[in-house]
Amino acid sequence: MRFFFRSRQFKIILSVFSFLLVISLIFGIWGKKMSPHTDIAGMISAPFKTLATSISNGISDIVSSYKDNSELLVENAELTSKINDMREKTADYDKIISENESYKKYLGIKEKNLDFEFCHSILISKDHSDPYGGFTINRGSSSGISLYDPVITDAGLVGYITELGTTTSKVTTILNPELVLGALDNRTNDSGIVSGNLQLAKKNKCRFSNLSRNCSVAIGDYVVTSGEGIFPEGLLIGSIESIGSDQYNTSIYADITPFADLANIKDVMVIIHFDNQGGILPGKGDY
Amino acid sequence: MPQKKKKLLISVINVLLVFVVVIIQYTPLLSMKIGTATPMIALAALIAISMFCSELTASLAGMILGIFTDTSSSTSFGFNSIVFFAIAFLTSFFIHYLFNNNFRSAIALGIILSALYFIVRWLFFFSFGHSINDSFTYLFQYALPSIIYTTVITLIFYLFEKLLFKKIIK
Repeated sequence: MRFFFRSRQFKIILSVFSFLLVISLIFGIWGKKMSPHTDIAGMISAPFKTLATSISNGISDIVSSYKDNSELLVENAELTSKINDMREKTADYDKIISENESYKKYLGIKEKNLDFEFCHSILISKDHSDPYGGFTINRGSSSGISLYDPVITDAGLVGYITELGTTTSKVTTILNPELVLGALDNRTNDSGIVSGNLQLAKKNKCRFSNLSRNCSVAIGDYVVTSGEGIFPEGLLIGSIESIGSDQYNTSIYADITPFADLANIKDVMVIIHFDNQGGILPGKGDY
Repeated sequence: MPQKKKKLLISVINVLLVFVVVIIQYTPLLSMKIGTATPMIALAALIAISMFCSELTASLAGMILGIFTDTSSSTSFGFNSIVFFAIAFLTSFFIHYLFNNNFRSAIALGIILSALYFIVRWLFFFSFGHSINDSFTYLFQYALPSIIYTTVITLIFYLFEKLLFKKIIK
């Protein structure tokens, strides 16, 4: 055995390992970017992953169309679309009431959305071992995506970009406790922070916490981004499912179900530009 | 068939196997999850392959598999390329100097090295920055079942590799 540790083979192994360690540390921790070898591997494997995902989605669609009546599926898709439209309208309606009551504190979501620049992306791989449902998309810095860009679906907020490659990016979802974002109750304007934890992630939920004890949030209220951090103002996050008291302080919290179906995402929009972009990422400082 | 060609054939089959494994591991609708247990099938395949390779070949195979795993994994900083490299080296090293290459060794190495992977992963990504409750929930409710599941998959890959060597080399 001791001859092995003196052999040329072991020295090569040790050198490669050290090189790998240094490269990963430099690019991962300081650069906050994918290390070059991962980036190249991502570029090589992306077409295969896209193909595999398309095939598995296709098979899933075929299986589900056999299982369910196809007419019901069409109707379901139409109804889902209508629900999303109605959510937007209700959110706008609440917003208008809120504006009238609080001296028009901020502009409506649709007015703001005029400044958004989107990048459509397809989910190409999903880490099943990540309890928070992180995934990889088929767009990277070459498509104008930057680190910490918000990721949404037509239903609501999904998460943000946490690792950036040239042609691929990794998305951390709002279920992950690493993501802490400022949020508002759309009806009452009560502010707090939205974050996840492992127990809630199991149920596909996250927590709207740090709410004042005399706030008037109610079950069914919509929660939107406050625009204080890296996310633009007014993005739909989810609806309040339950309300409870924090056991460590006097504040209360509300558990929310995200509008975006995080378990079954196929494609997303990355907001690559919006007014006042850039800011403070909770727990990570300025960027 | 000459010995060199046989070895090349095994390498080609293993490369294809690894490719399929990485695709299966991260394709959104091909989840092999049972409850909270998620097998790291790329790791299982790597352990099985490394049991039949030299230390250098195993380490390089681990590095390449790790790099491709990093492109999809939620872990950052090239975590998988480093850990897979080390695990592949340890597997091959243990087989050459400490264990016999048999089914019982496959069970032992499956448990030890899967545990190593999930514990290192827990240390780096769940023990800090998460609440104590979440941290231990991950360790006992996610990592532990995943270690057992990965070990079971390792045994399947071990049998496949053993059959492959038996059919082609012998």
